[in-house]
Amino acid sequence: MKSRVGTLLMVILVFISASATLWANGNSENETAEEPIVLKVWNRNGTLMGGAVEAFNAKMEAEGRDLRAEFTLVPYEEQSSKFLSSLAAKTAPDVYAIDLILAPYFSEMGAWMDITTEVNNLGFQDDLNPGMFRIGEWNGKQYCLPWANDNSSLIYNKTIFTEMGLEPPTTWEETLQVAKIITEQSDKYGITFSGANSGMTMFTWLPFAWMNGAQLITDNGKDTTIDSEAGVGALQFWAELAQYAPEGAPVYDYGDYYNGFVTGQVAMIFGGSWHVMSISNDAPELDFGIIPFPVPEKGNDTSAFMGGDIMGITAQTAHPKEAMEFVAFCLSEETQIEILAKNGSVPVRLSVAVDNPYFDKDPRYKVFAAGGQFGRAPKALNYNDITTVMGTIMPKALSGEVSPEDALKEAAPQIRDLLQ
Amino acid sequence: MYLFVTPSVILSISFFVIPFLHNLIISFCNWNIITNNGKFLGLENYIRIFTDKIFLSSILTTTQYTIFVVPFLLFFGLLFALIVNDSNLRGNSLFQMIYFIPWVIPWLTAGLIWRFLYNDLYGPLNYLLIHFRFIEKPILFLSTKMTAMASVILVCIWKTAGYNMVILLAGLKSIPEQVYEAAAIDGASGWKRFISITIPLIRSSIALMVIMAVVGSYLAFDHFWIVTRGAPSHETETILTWLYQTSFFRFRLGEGAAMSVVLLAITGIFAVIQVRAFNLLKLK
Repeated sequence: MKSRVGTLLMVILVFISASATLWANGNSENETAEEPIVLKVWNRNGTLMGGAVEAFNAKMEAEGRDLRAEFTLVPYEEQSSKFLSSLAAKTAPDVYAIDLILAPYFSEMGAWMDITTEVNNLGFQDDLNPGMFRIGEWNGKQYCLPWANDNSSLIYNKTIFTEMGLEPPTTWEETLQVAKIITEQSDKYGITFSGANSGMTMFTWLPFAWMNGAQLITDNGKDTTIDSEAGVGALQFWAELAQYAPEGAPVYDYGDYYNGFVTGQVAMIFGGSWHVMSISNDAPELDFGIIPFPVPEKGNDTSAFMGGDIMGITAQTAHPKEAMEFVAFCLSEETQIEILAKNGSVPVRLSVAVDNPYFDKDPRYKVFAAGGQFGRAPKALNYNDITTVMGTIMPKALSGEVSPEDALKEAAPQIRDLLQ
Repeated sequence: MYLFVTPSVILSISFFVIPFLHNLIISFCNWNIITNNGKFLGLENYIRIFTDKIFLSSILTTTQYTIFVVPFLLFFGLLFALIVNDSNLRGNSLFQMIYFIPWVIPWLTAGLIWRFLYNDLYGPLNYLLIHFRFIEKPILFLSTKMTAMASVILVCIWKTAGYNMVILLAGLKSIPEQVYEAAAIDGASGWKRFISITIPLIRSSIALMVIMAVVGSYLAFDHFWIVTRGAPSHETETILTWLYQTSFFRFRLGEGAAMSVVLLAITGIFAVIQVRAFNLLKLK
């Protein structure tokens, strides 16, 4: 009898626990359904994109919406490898803001969602930086939109210039003169380079080639004029300037070049918008100014490399509508001012790129911001392949191992092959 | 009985055989990572990499690096092991710790520290050499292939000699003290004891260390990546730094996969040769 009762109790217990489990599962499914949609957002800049994500979440919470964004920091060096791995594993983020020069490759491979229609309905698409906007277009479709703009300009140590009674240079000739005077008449160097870092070298050297009339990639994307007289002239200028740089500069990596300036041992560097904040943080005592890149001759137009990040919605997203809402939020004037300009990055909305309260307080940013309007960015499927070729010849030309003409003669046929 | 080896077989198949076969397939294709399939290209990727000057130069550079660094690692590893194995030496455990500390520092950190030390403008190494009048002008440690390689080899010795010491120390500890005592009674000098007792009896530890050092040197990445960045003009690219750039910077996945197959073949061949060579020595 006792055993029967025991068996019955066991059966009842099993039934109750099974029912409880089923009820709990059903309940958790209901809960899952009520959980907010979480957009995965990736970028290499935690301050900017992390800030935008926080602001977006605060807005969603205030509006009582079940939509959130979650930010993941992707180190600069891993921008492509991490994205490629995630695409292969079908775990790509919903929104990814990537270095703009990398975007065309991913557009070609089908990593992004076509957002042409959504962009046309934005209402402010004409206010977005047109140069960056162009990089987001591929085969007539819009895949990415500008997010943050970084341009190149000349940064100089005001204290050294003042002590030596020098004016910031406006032409190539003046640049050579001030670099010579500083190197020969003080214990400082006139300038420094990041010769071993091909990305940084292209970011700062290409504008000199452009303003002299040479093109790394011609407008039709099929040829280069880098070995023209104009290209050779631009590299000749850098090679002459390298005489007034530390001897190791042709093989310096980014840290060597940057530290040379922030330790006050170098008077000038060709740098980018992010330098204002990073130098101010790393060397608060350093008094530095920003000027546009010096021009070949008085009256010529200056140029800048228009860098930065563009953002796309990946083709693997399960929430395209919500992801577009997040993108639109990132591009709103308020986000562009309160997140980007506030943190020292140039907004991609032309209406607030130069004139905004934060850049009014520190007009040095305005020089970089202006660069976003006349600067250029190369658009090529295999831009990194091209920079690899240039990265091979640059240290040789800067160290005087080969002449600028021979260096570019070596590079140009390889670049042409890559563009075919 | 087969059950005992099942876990390792499963692990090997999951984490080596399947990824290797996948990589092998990619090396013969123009691979699309999104659709996870590719267009068969035959040997085109292999032809491309063997006509790529930088890849060929990277094989040479990696081989040169291995030839130079491995004897130094063996020498310093053995020297440190002998020092800390000397029971008469006071504080030998302290030395053991000092020699081993660099090994626990991440390669990235070590590389950045050494890159800073080598700098010609603000690097402490040049500053000290100039200050004590050993040199007049800063040495450009990273400006030529030869000096850059020597600089990286120094970083590698500093970083890994302690680890190699531990491997060799295990061998030294296994030698019975009586063997040395018997040799001393027979009148063998210190050098004779080292050559005739120590070296033969730690042969398997030396073999292990050398095989690991050779394979590790062919897989050199972090220190070259941080310290030289391939400079000057890609002359110090190793197989792995160039493979990484080819796959993830230049987006040539097929060529990168082909390079990794070549690298596997090189390291595999070296490992087999070394194992056989040490087995032959054992037989003698």
